[in-house]
Amino acid sequence: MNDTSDDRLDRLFAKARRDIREASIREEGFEGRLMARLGEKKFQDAPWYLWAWRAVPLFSALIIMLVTMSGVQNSGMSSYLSHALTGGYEESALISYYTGE
Amino acid sequence: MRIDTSSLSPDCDDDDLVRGAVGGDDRAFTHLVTRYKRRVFRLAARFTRSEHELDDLCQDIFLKVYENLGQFRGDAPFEHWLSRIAVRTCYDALRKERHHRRQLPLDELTWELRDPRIDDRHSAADARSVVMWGVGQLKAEERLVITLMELEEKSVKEVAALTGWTEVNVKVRAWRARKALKKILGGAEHE
Repeated sequence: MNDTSDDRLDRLFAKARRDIREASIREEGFEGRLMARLGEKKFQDAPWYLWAWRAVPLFSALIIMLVTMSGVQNSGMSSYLSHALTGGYEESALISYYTGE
Repeated sequence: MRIDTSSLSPDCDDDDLVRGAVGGDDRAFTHLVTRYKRRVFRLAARFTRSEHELDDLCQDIFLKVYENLGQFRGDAPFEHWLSRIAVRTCYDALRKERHHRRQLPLDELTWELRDPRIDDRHSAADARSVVMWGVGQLKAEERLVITLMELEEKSVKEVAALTGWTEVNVKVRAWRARKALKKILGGAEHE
């Protein structure tokens, strides 16, 4: 008998080759899905200095806030100083009055 | 060097599109994907069981293509270069799958290799299911080689070029794969 398992296996393969899986539905919009994943991957793989660039607005806001706060504090400090200076003058004037100098 | 990609269209040849994509033009890469996606889907479908797996594998293939476009020298057609990446990515997927391979039931389809009436009794879809089930039990390298040779009808030389294995290696693996497959499908005892 010539019909060996090899022949039968070959026939099975030949038959299986005829069944081509229909993938056209999956192919639809594939480019969009791929490019979205590619964009996501690019974002994840971005080096640290690109992340630093993305943080520029945050750092800018932080710096503006610090400058504003230090400005407010400085104006408070200057009023305190003028008050201290004036207060000091008044005190020395009072001492002069009492001591008669 | 910045490349002028404003004139790139889907009709451009592969080399121009590759140059455009390497220069950062994503449209050029999309044109390449559109041109070759059918071929890649067809090959990847031989190694996957579900539509979802198929989509993921094809995306992996094109992502690798994108990442390695800079290494494409143009001394061989782009299609060959793409096929090599596709085959290697499929092989990687098969090796990963082996770590968590499940013993899949063959549904209700009963089939034996010793049955001489396989041509009459089973449809092409049944035959494919049987082959997929049987091939799924093989080692990754055997599965790859038998799929490329028997289902994609590639020659030993072509398989060697696609996988990077020697021709002797391909022949040995193909022989082992057939032997194992005959055993799995129940024909070996009748040799």
